[in-house]
Amino acid sequence: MDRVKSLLKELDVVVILGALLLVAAIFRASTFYNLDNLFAILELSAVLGIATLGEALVLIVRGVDISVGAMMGLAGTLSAFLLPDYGMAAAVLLPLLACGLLGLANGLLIEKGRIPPIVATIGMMWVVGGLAGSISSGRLIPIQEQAFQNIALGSIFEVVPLFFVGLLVIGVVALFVRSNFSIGRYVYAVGGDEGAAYYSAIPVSRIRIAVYGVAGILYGIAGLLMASYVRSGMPAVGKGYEFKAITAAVLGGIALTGGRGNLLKAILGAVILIVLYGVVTAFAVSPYIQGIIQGCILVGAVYYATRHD
Amino acid sequence: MQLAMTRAAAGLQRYNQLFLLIVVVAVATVISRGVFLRPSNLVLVIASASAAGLVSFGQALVVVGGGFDLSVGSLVAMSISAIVFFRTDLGMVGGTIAAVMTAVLAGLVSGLLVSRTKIPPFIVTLGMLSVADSMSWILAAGQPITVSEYNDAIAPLFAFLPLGQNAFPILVLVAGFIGTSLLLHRSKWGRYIYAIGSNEAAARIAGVPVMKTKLLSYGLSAFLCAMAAIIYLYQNLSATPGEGADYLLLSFAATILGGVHMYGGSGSIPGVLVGVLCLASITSALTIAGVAPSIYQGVLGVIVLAVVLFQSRLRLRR
Repeated sequence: MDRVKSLLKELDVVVILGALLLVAAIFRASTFYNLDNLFAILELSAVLGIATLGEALVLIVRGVDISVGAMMGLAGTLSAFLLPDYGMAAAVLLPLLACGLLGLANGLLIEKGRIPPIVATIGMMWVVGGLAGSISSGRLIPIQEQAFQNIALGSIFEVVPLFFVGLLVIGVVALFVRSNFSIGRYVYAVGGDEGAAYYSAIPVSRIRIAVYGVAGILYGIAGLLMASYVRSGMPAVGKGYEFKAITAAVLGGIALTGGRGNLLKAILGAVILIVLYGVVTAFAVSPYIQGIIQGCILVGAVYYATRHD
Repeated sequence: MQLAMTRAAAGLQRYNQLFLLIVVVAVATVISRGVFLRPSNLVLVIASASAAGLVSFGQALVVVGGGFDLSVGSLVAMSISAIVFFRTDLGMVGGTIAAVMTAVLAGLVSGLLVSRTKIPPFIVTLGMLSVADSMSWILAAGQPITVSEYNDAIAPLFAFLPLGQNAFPILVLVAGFIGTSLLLHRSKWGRYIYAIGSNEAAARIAGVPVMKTKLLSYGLSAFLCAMAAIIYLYQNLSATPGEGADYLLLSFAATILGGVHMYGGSGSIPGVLVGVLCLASITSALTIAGVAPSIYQGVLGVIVLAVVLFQSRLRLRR
């Protein structure tokens, strides 16, 4: 019995949940296990995974970021707006620059302005939403450029979407930085024990600000991928992604109290969340029920993580 | 000089909210070229602040108590759908009561989870946001909602007042204001809320009934959301499922502008009322000035961030 228990603990709930879902989907094999559906699941996993990585970093430095969805919307809208006249390079780099700067602004408001993270990023969410709304004048901007559409259509051996390759690359870079550079340890130290980090001459403020900036860029990348996926730029495309990203990160074991959590598992949390949506859809239950499941998972996962605190 | 600056800052801090309202009204009057100050427009502004005001009072109770309620907007949306859902079987009056009870139940669940587990309030209410949003679609079966009964039945009752259609929302706003003010500023439960918001551990040791107080504040917040849903239907007659989510942003902006400290333990209902009126004034002025609605929230965001930054500067200087 004990051996079973320890095995379960090692495997962790999140992996078990994922396995259960994949088994359950066998009952709807024709709708779930077909190439188109799996391809879409991998693509959406990549979008959410990249956004979740940003949110996870912010949670690790004991912050929280509600501006995820708005930033994604801005990146996509700005990109669609720039594409016809300024070409691919500008349409990719400028939105990422904008999101990075807005992320830094988040960090500055929180660190230098001493505003609680939740308030600062909600305010930023409106500002960013307003920016995207004024670029698009409240409408949807279609994307006609083939090269941009191809990002979503592209794959390796027609099996693994380019999106997912992108997620893997970003994940590997994040893990490499985490374990080979001092900044990786600093990030965890800042969230783990701010006072101790401060007295160890770690530039706490600057690291936190930088993390919000990096997170902004990651939301921007997720937004660009989403724009390529839906072939248009619209400010509301990322609506609810702050919620999904927080849920995925928590599901992946990122502690809301900061300083703890594995980035790779956070990404896995995102993949499993998307698989869950896929399974729910495959069983053709009312699509409206998704939110109820999502809410219960978030609260349940946090309860599981905090029950012994 | 230093002392004078400090005194000026302290004065500003004390009359912060009133000062803010005067500035907002002045700016609104200027950019609307005087239209804003016409009595007919002022009545409209106050009536349009009614639903947002009710939600904000509830939000303020929760925030002063050291929590957050991210579910308010979705609870308004759920209540709107619940009224339509229960109307078919229970009639208008019974349906309204059932919808209010549903919302209060949701609030009590949030309050229970916040007080009995270690899950942070923003996670509990984020989960409730998601559930309530889904419920608003399920209860309305995804169909557009039309409810003209409130307007038909209630508007004639106040026909004797000069305010016309706007009498009911304004009266409910005043009632909500008086009720929550009495609770927070004149009752023992109000003292409990402040005590928990300032230092929960200390409050618990001092014998404050933490769980009951939290159930009360989250439940009342949900109740006020249901009231806001009634006002919404009275004013708009129709809605799509999920509509009302904007009240989350509005209630946050109003509590922040109203001087409620986001970490709990301070703030007042009159301050929040001023915050609500500021928001309504800004929106009215922007509309009169012909600013596109897609930019509203951006302007609101900038104003809120500026005010919060200003307030936190003042606090640091003290």
